[in-house]
Amino acid sequence: MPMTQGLLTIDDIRVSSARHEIVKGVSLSIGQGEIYGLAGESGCGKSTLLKSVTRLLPPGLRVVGGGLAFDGIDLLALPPEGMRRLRGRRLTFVSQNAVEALNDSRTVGAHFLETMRSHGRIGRKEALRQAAELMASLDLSDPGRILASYPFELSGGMNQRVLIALAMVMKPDLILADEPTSALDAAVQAQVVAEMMGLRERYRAAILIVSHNLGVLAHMAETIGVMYAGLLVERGPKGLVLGLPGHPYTRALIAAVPDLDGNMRDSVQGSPPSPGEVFPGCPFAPRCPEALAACAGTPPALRQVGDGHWAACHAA
Amino acid sequence: MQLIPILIGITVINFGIMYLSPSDPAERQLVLRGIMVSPETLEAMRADMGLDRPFWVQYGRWSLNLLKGDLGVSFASGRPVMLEIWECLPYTVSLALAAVIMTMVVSIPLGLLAAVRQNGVWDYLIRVATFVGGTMPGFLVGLLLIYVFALRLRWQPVISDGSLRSMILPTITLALAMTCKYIRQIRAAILEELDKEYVWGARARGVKERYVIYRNVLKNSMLTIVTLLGLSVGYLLGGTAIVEIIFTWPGMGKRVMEAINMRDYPVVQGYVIWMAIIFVSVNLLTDLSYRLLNPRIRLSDEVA
Repeated sequence: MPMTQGLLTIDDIRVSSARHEIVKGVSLSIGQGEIYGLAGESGCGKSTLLKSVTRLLPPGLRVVGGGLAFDGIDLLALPPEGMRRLRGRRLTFVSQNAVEALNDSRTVGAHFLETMRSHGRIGRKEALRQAAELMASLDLSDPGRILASYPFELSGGMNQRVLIALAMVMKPDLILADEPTSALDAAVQAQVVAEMMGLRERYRAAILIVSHNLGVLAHMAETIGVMYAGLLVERGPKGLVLGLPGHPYTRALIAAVPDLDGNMRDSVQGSPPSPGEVFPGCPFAPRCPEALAACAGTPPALRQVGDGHWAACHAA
Repeated sequence: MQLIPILIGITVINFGIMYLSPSDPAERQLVLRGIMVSPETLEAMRADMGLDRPFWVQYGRWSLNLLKGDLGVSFASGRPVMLEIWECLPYTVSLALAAVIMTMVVSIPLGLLAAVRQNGVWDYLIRVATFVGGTMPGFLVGLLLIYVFALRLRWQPVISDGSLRSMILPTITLALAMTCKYIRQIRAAILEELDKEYVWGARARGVKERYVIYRNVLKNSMLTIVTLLGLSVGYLLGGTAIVEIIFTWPGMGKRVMEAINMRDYPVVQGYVIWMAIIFVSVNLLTDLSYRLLNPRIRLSDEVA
């Protein structure tokens, strides 16, 4: 598969635990300032894929194959200190559970200080001034008070914004966002998404966002990838993937998006395979309403189904 | 402020045990002073000491005196118990304090090292060493130290004279088991803290590892460490008695053992009261520092 040289190039990456592979060879490329959305049910390996880019995988997981290139830098060959300098400065991470991701016994300001001072010499006052300025642009009234607060004194939405501001404070080129709004209720979610988009506009950062909520991705992303059982089963421009989905799994996910009133609609039939399951053919075949005889036998490769639009389905 | 009822309870139990004990204080006092025991002298002594009065009257008199700082007079020496305790107390407190300082100075870095290098060579060495050190009883450690450093190498006196130099071996003896226990507990506390998501979050922001460890993980683990410290004060106070006897350290533990052997009740009572006061105050201090260290508790106090 030809890869264009983008900001981040993930090339056939494989992540494995002691027992089985969790990410089974995923390739994708993100350009400068591009917003790439990764969709899929929980357990499909999307978070693991995202974390592998930071090289901070949970204990027991490791990259067993493939390549990661960030702005021409081979991430997998980078020494730990070099990787640390990239993290938080050029590529940053926003995780799902902001309350857990912040240290409860330190103030928000202390979080900013330690982040900024880990990436360069900066005075305390100047650092806090910059942090306050950034928070003000996130529509957070009274940034001074928030900087002096402890995370447990703030609401979930507030903490999530703090986390986003922390990720943005060094003006990164790439933000890895793991379900950044999923822990929030719908109204706050929309607002945080809007604020995040506003900040991105200012800094021209690329975003790789992972979400099980296609609605959020449809709103934010320019390019969408769909993951299933550790594989990328479809990718392409948002309009094509959502308008003319090439994979039955994508169609099922679209059908499962809750309507405006928040009512759940048809969820995808059956449950995703457990990580250890091995499939001779297409991993989605057992749940697929459109499965052919060939689906159980040979695994489908990604095939072009439209302009920049690829799907891994025998029927596509 | 439940400290006051606790202290009152301790005095009642303390006095009650002495009251119920089978030997007669009046007789002890006569014997210890070398006076012939006859029914007449015994009767006179009992009346003199107020022992013919009912329990509550005796307790009331005793505790009123206690509030005035009067713990009675030692049967053996005839000197006020308060004075005797004031003479011994600094030795015991300095020994316990030295042991606490040594424990902290040794166990925080080693516990941290073992946790950060989990399953590495250092971790295994530290775990084996703390296992061996932690299971050795204090009296054995003390005797071994005396044998090696005092008898063989002659670096230390066999009998302590209360000087700073002669404090080294008793301190090590007292601190060894506690240090080993602490290293393991600090290691566990830090491992637990390292596992938290905020540590991952900080690393994902490229925060320098030394900030992650010292300003986040160690600081948060201090909560656990301070609680442990407060709890082990009781152990330390009890532990000093054995060490003081082995090294003939002139502290309260040694003095009270002599008093127990001679059934010198006022001294024993005074010792128990003092230990209770120290124990309760240290627990109070632990509680206060815990609040100071944990912003969640500190701030909820300020609001309330």
